[in-house]
Amino acid sequence: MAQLDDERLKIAAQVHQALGNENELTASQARLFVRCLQTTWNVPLIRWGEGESQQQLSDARRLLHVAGIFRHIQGRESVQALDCYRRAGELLEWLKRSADDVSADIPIELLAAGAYQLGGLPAMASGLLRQLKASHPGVSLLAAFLGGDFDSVVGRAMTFWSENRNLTSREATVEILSEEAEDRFDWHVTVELVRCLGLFADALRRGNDPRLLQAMEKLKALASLASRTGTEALSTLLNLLIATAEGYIENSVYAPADALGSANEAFSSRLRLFAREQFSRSRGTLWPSQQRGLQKLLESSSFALCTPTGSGKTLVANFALLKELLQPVTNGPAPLALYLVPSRALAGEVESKLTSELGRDLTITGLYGGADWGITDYWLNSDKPSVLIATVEKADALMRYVGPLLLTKLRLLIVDEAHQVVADASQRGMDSLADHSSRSIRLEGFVSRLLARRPDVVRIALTAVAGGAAQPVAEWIEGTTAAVPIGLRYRSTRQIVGALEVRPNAPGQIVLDQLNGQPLFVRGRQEPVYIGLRFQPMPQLPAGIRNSINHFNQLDVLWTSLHLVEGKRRILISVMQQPEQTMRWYVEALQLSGWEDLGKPMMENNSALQALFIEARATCVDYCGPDSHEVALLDRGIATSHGQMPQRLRRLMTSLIDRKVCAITVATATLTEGVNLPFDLIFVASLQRSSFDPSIQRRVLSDLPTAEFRNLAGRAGRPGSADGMEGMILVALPQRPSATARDQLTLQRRQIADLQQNYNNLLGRLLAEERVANEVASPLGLLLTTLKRLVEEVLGLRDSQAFLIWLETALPQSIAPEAGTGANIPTARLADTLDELDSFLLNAVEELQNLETNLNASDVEAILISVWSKTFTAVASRTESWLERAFIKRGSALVERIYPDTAERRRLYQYGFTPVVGRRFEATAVLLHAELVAATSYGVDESSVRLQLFERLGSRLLNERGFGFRVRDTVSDQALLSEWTKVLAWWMNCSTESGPLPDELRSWQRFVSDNLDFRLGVALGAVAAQSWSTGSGNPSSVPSLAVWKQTTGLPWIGFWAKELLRWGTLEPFVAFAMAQGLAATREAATMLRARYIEWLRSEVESPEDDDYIDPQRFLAWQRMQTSRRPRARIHAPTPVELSGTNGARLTYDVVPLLTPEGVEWIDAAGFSLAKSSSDVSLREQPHKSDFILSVGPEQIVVERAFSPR
Amino acid sequence: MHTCDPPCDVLNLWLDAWFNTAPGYTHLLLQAKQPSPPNLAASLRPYFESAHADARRVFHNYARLDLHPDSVGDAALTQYPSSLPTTTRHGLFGEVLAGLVVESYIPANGHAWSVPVFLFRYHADVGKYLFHLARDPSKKRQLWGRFGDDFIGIGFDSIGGIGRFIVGEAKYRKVATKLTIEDLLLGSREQVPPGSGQYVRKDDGILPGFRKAPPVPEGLGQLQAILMECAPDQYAEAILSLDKVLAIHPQQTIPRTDLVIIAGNNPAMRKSGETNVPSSVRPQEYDAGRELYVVEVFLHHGAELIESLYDSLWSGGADGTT
Repeated sequence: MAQLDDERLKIAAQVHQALGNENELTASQARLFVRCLQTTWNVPLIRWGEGESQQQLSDARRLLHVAGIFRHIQGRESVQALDCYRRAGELLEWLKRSADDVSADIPIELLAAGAYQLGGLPAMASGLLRQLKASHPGVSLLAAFLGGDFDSVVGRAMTFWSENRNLTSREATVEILSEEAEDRFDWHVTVELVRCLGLFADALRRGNDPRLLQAMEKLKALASLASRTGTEALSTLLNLLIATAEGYIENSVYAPADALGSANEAFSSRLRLFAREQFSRSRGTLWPSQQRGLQKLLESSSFALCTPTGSGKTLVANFALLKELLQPVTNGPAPLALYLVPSRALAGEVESKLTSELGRDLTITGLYGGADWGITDYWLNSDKPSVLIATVEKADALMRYVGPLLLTKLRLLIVDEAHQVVADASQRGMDSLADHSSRSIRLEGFVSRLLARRPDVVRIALTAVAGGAAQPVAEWIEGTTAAVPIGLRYRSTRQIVGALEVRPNAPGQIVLDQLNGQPLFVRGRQEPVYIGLRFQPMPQLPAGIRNSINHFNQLDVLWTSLHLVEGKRRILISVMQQPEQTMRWYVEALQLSGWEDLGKPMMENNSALQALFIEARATCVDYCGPDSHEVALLDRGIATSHGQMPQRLRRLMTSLIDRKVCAITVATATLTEGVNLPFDLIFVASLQRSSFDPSIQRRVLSDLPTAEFRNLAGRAGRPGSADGMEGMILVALPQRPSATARDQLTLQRRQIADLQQNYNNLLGRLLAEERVANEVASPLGLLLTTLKRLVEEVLGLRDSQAFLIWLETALPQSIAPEAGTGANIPTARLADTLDELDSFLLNAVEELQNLETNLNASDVEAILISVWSKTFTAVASRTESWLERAFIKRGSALVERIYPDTAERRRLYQYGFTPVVGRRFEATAVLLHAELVAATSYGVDESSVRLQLFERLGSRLLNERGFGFRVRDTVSDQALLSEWTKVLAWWMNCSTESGPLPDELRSWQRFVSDNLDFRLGVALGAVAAQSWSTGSGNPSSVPSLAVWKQTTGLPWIGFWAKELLRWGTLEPFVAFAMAQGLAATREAATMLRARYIEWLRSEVESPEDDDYIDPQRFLAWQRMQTSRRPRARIHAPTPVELSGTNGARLTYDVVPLLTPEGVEWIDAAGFSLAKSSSDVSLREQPHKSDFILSVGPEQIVVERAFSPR
Repeated sequence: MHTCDPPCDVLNLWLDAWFNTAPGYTHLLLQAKQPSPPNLAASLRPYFESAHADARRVFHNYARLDLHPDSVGDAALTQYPSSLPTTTRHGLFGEVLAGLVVESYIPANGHAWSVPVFLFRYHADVGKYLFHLARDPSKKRQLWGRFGDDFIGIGFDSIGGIGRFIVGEAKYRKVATKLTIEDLLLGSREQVPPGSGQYVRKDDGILPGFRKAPPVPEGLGQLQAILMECAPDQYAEAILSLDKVLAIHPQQTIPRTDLVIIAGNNPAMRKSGETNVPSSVRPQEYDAGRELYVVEVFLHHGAELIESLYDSLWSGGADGTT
């Protein structure tokens, strides 16, 4: 046989080439795909014949056959086998979704799911099956199995046994074959298959290998029988079922759990519980990328996992947390993992996910409150392993506070959305360096310093957006150029990039341009693939609207969205900038004639959804005002989100989207950064942002970075959550002018051509990035090259050597007196860019130096070399050696000449600003400190007095452009700055005047977010940190509430001030209650405060002023509230009577079957083993729990061994 | 695998044969002699055991595995194929008889046909039960004859590859009357409108059905899987040939002969040598355009023969009587 393998492979390769090449559809495959999309989106269908469907079915069978050849000869991982299974899965899926009547003997969705499973795309299998309502119970059972929903398999098998109780006796199997009925063999095979599937699913999720192997053996015997005595289709199905089942066994999460836990019994049982929980969360079988990730982890090495969102990175991260934090080791402090996330919103999401899964074993803290360390930071002194979830800014602040402690405990670093380390090399990106607002350089700096200090720490990078960044990110994280990113070929959903072509007074159409990152290539054809939309075009708009092509375009997107919302579909309208303008346009449009009946929140008489909507609406009214655009859109079922929206409201909006109360969302990019939100369709109305450049006094346009577009596109089509099998991102492109006025036509034609050109450019850039890997901009590299360019431009120093010499002596303030003020003149940009580099260097030196000894030049150089070697830049720009020389030269000069005073460097480090800004800040810090020290009566002060304190604090920042308030150079923003106390009063919720008008809301919110929450918050945080540091005198000391006041010498308002600015309240209890999730709105929290005050007065005879806002007392009150809650019921063992076993095996895995007489405890293969009286605790989906029947000498009982959470 | 040669001597003693040929068409009439040769069942037994050996092994393996948690592999064994229902046995007999006839009587362009393994698709209805998870006695079982390719025989080429297929239907009926045979070949009849006495044939006839038969015969994938499982080296070339058929297109690669075998008891009124299907001209209802073989087999006491034959399989005694 082996000698003919080559011949067989040639045949298979012929079919692979003709039908199965990845990203290359034949003309008829493309037509089938389009037809499937048209059916999904309910638009007119292309012409299609029954013969074509039969041909596609036949092609799918051929692909399955040759996939089998590849697999047989080359093994499970054969790339060509995977291609062929995937394409077969696609053809079958498209046939199914096109509702074509193909005469297959078995439901083709089952074949499709099997093909996807073997193609290594389990999410596609489960995604498809979840969408289809199976018509028959057996089809549902098989679908549940092929979709990997093992709880459902057990549940459906139990339904079968409950309907066929005569089959649960031990003799039932033999009895069927002894019947006279002609159909006894058919029925026997059916019953045995249900036994196999039920047992397999139950044993798999419990990790009961002996029973699992029995089920597998029987399943194979059954398939073998079917290959002789059944139809070919049935035989094919069973073979797919077996191969899938083998994959389940091979990929079970129990395998790595057992491998890791083999040395320690207690740890092993914890890992097995973890594994069991994964099954109850439908992710107990690992995908190839997870397998490789866990393999790396078992080898104790670091890695980068580059797979799309929703493809199981969480499981790998959680497993890593268990391994690094719970694995028993010798003495040492309780271990710690740092989980870096790109946004506060994501921190919240990760925290709640981790808490639900690992909260029993680990202290998990989100750190997304306002203070640099807060009341929830009990992990600091805890002897329980902890996970810290933080943005890099927060982690940075924490490092300044408790760096030594953090480092001693740290075992694992997880960098989520690690591609964010890639720098934006556009002008905007370069400006962000001078503005000290670049996130990427902050991430690079933080991680590099950390790795230089703790090179042994295990690190994992998670990233959804591969592009060209995957390889350098992997190299950075693994610390070797031999690194290979894991999971590149994996995808969990189908992704389409296209355009929505918009025409006035005519129906639109969708053009599909890219599929899974490649041109949607149809062999032998040049024209693109179209889908026509059939609903009515938008009613004629007033001329004022039509005269702006952008306005018209955006409204058409809304019109299209409102008509495409059907079923469970979710649509995101992504706005590049000025969301308030889009929101206003939408509110106005929804009041136009013809729009009245469109859009409403979808709550379907569901009281939970109604309650959510009411809460979100109340919060929206609380933070935005009753007349805001946000509330008006919410009432029409449209959620909104943007970066300046208060955090709590954003989270509620996210829930509304997630639970599909709002089918349409209008949001800026901040919503989608790493947050798991499912959209089927994303519209983008523009691919450029404009900004005002004061240096040239005009607006400049910048293209949307491809990384941002990819990130956005990655949010479409989340497997299992979205309605379709594919996510689409469509750029809205007007095809004709909307204006009729002659003078507007020329302008609009030009704008239309520009939009089209931008889109074509984007497609080109996306493709180029797919092809050219490894060439990405690094933040520090960009900083150094920008600096060199500025030196050339501003100072005329073109020679590299001259640049290096310049670096040794240049003082930012000498370059420009305006340095550190955010001034927009070339010399100041140069000085600020240099200051950004100094900040990077100063942080490195301060964190890595040995505080016990004096720092000499060689120490500094050693520190700089070690940090440099850990930077992303060293990996991504390894060919440019001058970068490293410049880095070290400047770093050495920094210590020797620029900031030679050790104490000053320490202070500057602790402030957290760049050094120039920090120096400016020092004088203000003294004033802020004095204000806080004096505010001893804040606990009992009237609101007006409290507000005055914040006014005084804010006024210290008013004229300080470096660290102080900053607004755009526009008339409206300048006006806002002059009335900033009005904004403060509104934000702190004590305004007697009305708040902003709807159109002003976002600029007010932006002021709050940029200046009150961020700049004033940072300044107050720095003062508190400095007070702590001065008071304790020991950099290794750990803050605690017990000693905080005494150490800092500040009253409690010093602790709370930053938190109050975050939540928009003057009352610390309100901030506390909201941070702890005790109240939904500020009003509700204020009402709760009355109860706290009552309690306080009963506890403390005559409370002092500061007692009213003492966080320790808040916590004591909260603990008292919690202790009053009833505890969860604990299930006692249930006494039972044996019914179908002699109990010889002593323990049996059982599942309850509720019967009119009581509970029958049956083995998952369908055999009744014991009986007991009825038990109310079993009412809700008991098949999802594990029960064990134990036969003891004195009693026979059933105990619950696992309950899903 | 099926390895037993057909017992040609026994066949000659048992059956008279009449061949008639026309272009693209061969008719074979087989008529049992009176009386039957002694120990007919015992003489046929080795061939039938060989034909059933693979399915028996697989079935026993399946039935032996008992999933009850207390089981230690001691499930009471149901014997195959002796325990099968009567109708199923008749169907199986027809299948094996087809093998016997094809291997013994029908030439394959100078070579012999062979049946490396018998596919007995008596679980054709499992899908229905499986998808509904219910047993519905009110539904009439659809036995045999849905596919037009129940039986598959192979003509090997000189290097062991597959040179030709012979694919078709094998039917056993209690009495092979003219009407029964016509119904099978041309389609069953129904009254339209009901009660009118006017009969119209449905489209389930075997002969017109050949036109609709899928280009790749049903069962080739199964056949290949069994060859790979049981004798991959011996049948390496055949396996490769099957890849060509299954992955590319059968009509472009391997020629196919269509076959119908209808067996049953000789009707009382039938005269010796008489056929129910035209023997010298190809039936006009057949329009698939390939080579067609029609075989009519008339037996005496067929049911009794089947019963004694199937009861004797693997019964131990040399004459099949124990």
